[in-house]
Amino acid sequence: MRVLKKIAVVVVILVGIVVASLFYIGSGVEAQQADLSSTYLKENIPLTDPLSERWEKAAAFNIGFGGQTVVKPFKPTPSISSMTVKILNNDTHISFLLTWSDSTKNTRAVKADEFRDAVAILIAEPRKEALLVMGTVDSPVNILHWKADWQADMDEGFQDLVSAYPNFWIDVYPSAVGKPPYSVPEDFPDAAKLYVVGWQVGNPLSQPLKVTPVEESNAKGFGSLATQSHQDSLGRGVWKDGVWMVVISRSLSTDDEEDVQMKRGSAYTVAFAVWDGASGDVGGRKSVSTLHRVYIP
Amino acid sequence: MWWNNVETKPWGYYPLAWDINILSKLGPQVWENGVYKGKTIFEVALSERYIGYLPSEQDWASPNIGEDETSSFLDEQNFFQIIPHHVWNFYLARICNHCTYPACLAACPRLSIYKRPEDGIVLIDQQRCRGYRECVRACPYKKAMYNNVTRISEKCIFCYPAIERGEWPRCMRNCIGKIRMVGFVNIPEKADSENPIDFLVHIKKVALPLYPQFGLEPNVYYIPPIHVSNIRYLQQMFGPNVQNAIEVYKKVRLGEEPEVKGALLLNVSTDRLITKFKVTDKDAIGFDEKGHEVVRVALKEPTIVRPEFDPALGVYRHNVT
Repeated sequence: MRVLKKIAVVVVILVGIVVASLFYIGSGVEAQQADLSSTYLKENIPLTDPLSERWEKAAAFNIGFGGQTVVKPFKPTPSISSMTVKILNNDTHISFLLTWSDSTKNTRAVKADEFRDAVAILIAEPRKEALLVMGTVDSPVNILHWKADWQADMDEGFQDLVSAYPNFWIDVYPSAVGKPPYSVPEDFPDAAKLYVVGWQVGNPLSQPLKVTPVEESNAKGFGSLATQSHQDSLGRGVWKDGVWMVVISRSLSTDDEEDVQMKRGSAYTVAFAVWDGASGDVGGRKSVSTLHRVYIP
Repeated sequence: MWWNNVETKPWGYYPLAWDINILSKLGPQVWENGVYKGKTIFEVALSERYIGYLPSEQDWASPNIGEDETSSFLDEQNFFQIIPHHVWNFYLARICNHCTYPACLAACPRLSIYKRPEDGIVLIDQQRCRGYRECVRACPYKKAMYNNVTRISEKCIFCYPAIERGEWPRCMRNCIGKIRMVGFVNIPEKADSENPIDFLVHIKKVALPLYPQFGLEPNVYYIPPIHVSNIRYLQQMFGPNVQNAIEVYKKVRLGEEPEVKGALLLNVSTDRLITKFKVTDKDAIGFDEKGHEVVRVALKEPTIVRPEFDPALGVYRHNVT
């Protein structure tokens, strides 16, 4: 009986240790399963500055890229083989710096045959696998999508037809005010805007005035991307000497129930995608990474 | 962008070389005894859902290219005195064909394009489109177009608000030459001989689809030109029944097809959609879907000759008809 009691005591202690470890050292388990990690800073982190010196404090990770051959239209050969990712977080915000090579700077999608550069981060709930087909009905994902033409619209003013055709002329638009060649949005009051249908019906791609170059969307599978009604992400991209440096940032927790809420001490599934405008990339024609896990200390 | 364009065949196109490009991509295909045995644009595809191409910006820049150009050099006078002419051209007015199997709808990865069940009109959802331009690549007729300002794609809407009111689309209503007829077409098995469209397309087979070999079942039908000597060119464009269609149309001019004549006289005669028609020995009559008579056109236009001298004004008339 005394032996049994000793064994029982040992078993209870062992069980206690295991149970305690599940609660107490939870962050350790999470951190071990993650292949990427954010670097925690106590002070402000750069939310829209890819050139900030603070990025030197962040650990850098090399993310591999392949083509997209899951759903047509395919892009069998990727435009890049890898991208450098740095992540910073403080108590309230998280910021990603994505750096990749792109010898051509494509910041305009005005002409019928031109496409713009872009990069996106897919973020999914912890402990749920998000498939590389942009989430599922049961596991929807957040997509934070930075676009080079939205960036240029903000930096240089909305790129109207005149940006592609400096001598463009039109005599009259129904109900437009001002003088030819008429600028969007200034010369288009409501009566004229009625005929610029994408803008009129609120399509986010057609709004001339941009507040942020990053669009937040949700997806439940390929082809289901839906822009969120409330936008919380910031960012900024700079192209220099054949390299894009793009910051995408967000508060860790938001009031938006469409956002994946993030917490310090947890890990999340992430993936990345890049579009090279010069290759005609848009939509599913993109270079993609595999799924990764990022730990937020 | 021209949702409706008119190009002169054979040397005109909008966008540039649209039909030549897709015919080349499709490659030579085979018709056997009036039945298509070749592949459609959906079947020759590899890494995409269709074969197609994205026209360059410049391809859209010359809508009037080749206008009024003849098929070859005019090398003799009075070539026009016999039909068909050995030197020819004809005008091909085109809108979106609102196909039964639209390539644009198949191509959109986001299902932003839909075909309305009530009238078959194919539309691009302007809220949902993200400007991927897969539809622009896919449509062999190149009637899905990219809007440079809104950065999403658009196409002919077949004036669906007018159709919902029982009215004709604007391009159809305004045709000066009165060569257009609008209505609802039934499947061949349910062809209604009192419906002018079914009558011309399914029963008399004088109106033919455009490039049927693409496989989309386009719903705009053309009566082929009778003056074009290159029948193979016409067969490539309208299918193997071209010769029959031409023969029927020639009979109309000889007075041997009064019902076809009546149906054609109803072209652009009213802005109300004609669901049924009737031809008497004097008139062609169009009825709307409620059975109300909406238009009556005389088979022979009455000719009135006025006297040379107008006594009321005390003047001689310069023209009297």
